[in-house]
Amino acid sequence: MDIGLIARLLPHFLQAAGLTILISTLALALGLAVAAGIAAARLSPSRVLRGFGAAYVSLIRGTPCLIQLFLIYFGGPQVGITPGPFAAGVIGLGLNIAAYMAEAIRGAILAVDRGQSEAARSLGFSRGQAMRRVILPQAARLMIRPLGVNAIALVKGSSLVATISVVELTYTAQRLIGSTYRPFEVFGIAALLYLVIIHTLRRGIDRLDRAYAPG
Amino acid sequence: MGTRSRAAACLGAASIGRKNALVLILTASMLGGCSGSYSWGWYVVLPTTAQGLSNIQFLLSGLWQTVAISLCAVAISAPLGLLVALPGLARNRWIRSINRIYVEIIRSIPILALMLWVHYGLPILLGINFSAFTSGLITLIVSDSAFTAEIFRAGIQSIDKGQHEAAEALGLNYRDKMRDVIVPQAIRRILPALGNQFVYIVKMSSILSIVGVFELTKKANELTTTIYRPLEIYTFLCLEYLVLVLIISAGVRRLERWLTIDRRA
Repeated sequence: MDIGLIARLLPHFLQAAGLTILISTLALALGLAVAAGIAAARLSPSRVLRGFGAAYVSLIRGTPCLIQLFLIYFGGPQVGITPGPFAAGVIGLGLNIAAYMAEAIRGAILAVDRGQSEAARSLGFSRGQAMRRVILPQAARLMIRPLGVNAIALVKGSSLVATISVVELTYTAQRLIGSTYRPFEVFGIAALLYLVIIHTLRRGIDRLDRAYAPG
Repeated sequence: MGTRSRAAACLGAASIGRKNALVLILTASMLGGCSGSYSWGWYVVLPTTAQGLSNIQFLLSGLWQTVAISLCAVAISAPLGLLVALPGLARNRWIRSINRIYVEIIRSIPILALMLWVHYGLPILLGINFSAFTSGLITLIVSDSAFTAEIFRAGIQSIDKGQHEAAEALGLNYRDKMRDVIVPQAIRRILPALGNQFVYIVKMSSILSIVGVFELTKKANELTTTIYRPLEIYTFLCLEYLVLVLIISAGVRRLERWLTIDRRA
């Protein structure tokens, strides 16, 4: 183990870790927004919307994330949309995780006891009001953990954008191994940084989950 | 496992047919309908022309590698996962921590980074070169074993304590108790989860294209560099995976239904 080498590489890696965090955060924001829409579609009374939601989830979950990224990054220019690697990464990861998160949201909403919505309706709440005021606040705390698991998967999935040349952790590790030829140190640092990011995220989720735990 | 779960399984089977059909119809209409200003080049994967047919044959020629590597990976990682899960159930803290450390570390490393390490790093450390297939397989096995271990652990923990006590009362030792009583029951319960994990492996095997395993994705990449039609080719690739995944999930569902029928009755 070469400590000097690690010290020299660390600044590169910290910068790359920053990009990993940035791209994951942006993708998470996009993913949550899309997921909310898809979950709403899947729970809507309209058959068409329900079908659309189900198809979206099946299509995204049935195909590899890597290929979805390729489709956006390499296929986009063909239809006149030329996203940069970073934008393609955010869009691809966001749209991918949205399908999984939509299922988490839907699951949490369905897990709220039926009686709650019946009670709200019998008190004169409209469907929308019952959802907003009664169901969602209860579902929100059930969502924390499943959404958290997806957020962790997203951070790891963000390594895929290395293939479309976004200079994040995995790309940096791959490049530096070519120039230093020291796999142990290089991948060691990368793995450690992933561990730190994911461990922090997991602790945050645990804390949030405990704070809002029912009862 | 009563009539309720059986009914649920039947319901699931009935609805999946309609849902799958809907997905495929939607995809088809998406492909045909969205013309816009862009002139599609579906001829590259049109089976009616000689060129299109040979392109399709080229793309499908990666299927064998995808299927082979996924099956090999799951065949090895499932028993490995069980082996990793067992220390996680021990009473001793130190033995348990072996399981925790393995699972937490492997689960925190992205599979792509792990694969690059195995393919480019490990040969430097060990002085032996792996073929792309071997390092891909190692990666999938290692990564999947951590997830499978968690599935097994949850499954074994879900088995009623009375089963352990009964087996011990009958004088079975640890190995016999696990092999004949606990694990068979646990496997029944975790089969859906293991099936999902297999779907995950099939999708993850697309990453192996990066180190040069000639599976479905690599073939599509190759074809894209010769004919610049990434949109059509990758869409076709998505369909390939979609069909593969739908077949697997239908298979898992069938297996699940078969297992929920109580054969002692």
